[in-house]
Amino acid sequence: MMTDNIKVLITPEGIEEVEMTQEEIDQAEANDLEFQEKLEQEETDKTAKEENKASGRQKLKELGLNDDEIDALIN
Amino acid sequence: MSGSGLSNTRFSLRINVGGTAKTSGHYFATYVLQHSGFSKWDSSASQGYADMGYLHNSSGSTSQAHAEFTIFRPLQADKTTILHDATTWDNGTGFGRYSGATANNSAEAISGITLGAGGFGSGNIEIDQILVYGLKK
Repeated sequence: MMTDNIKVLITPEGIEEVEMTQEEIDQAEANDLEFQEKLEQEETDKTAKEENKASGRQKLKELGLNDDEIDALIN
Repeated sequence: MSGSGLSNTRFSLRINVGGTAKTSGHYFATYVLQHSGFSKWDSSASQGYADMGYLHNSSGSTSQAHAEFTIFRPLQADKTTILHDATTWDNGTGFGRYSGATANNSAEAISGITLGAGGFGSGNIEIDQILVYGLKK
């Protein structure tokens, strides 16, 4: 089991729990911030994709396609 | 996996060379299969870790995840490839299977892998059991 600020080394010689260094802890905190930015970008991209999908569906409807025909095209 | 936020429940992988986890020089691609369909999850040739998807996010949860790795020819001086596969109730509510592969982009022996949470942030990995198998021709 891994808990805060502990890393576990699993080797052919056995399992060892090691305290993270302050440098490693600082790096983990920096990684948290970086990862949060990645998640926010993913959410932005997802929203844009959903908006484009809705817009595209509406345009296809205006061309006369029904929902079943649109689903067949895009799924 | 558990942590202070959803970002801490993403399962991350690095390749170790000479006992040190590499933060560059590897490729990965992961897709996710859910009841709603099949889609790409994440991929990169430059990210500092491989992103293997969401695992469950609460300590002691009954929504446990299972993951497995197959590492091919780790000790040979070639571009080691790794298959990774996980089933999970990601975020405790939605079932999914995250599958993918990671490859070292240097022809070298690897000494192991490093697993982390949330892009090697501050989340925790709680493991009930680890099984290690080795096959040799």
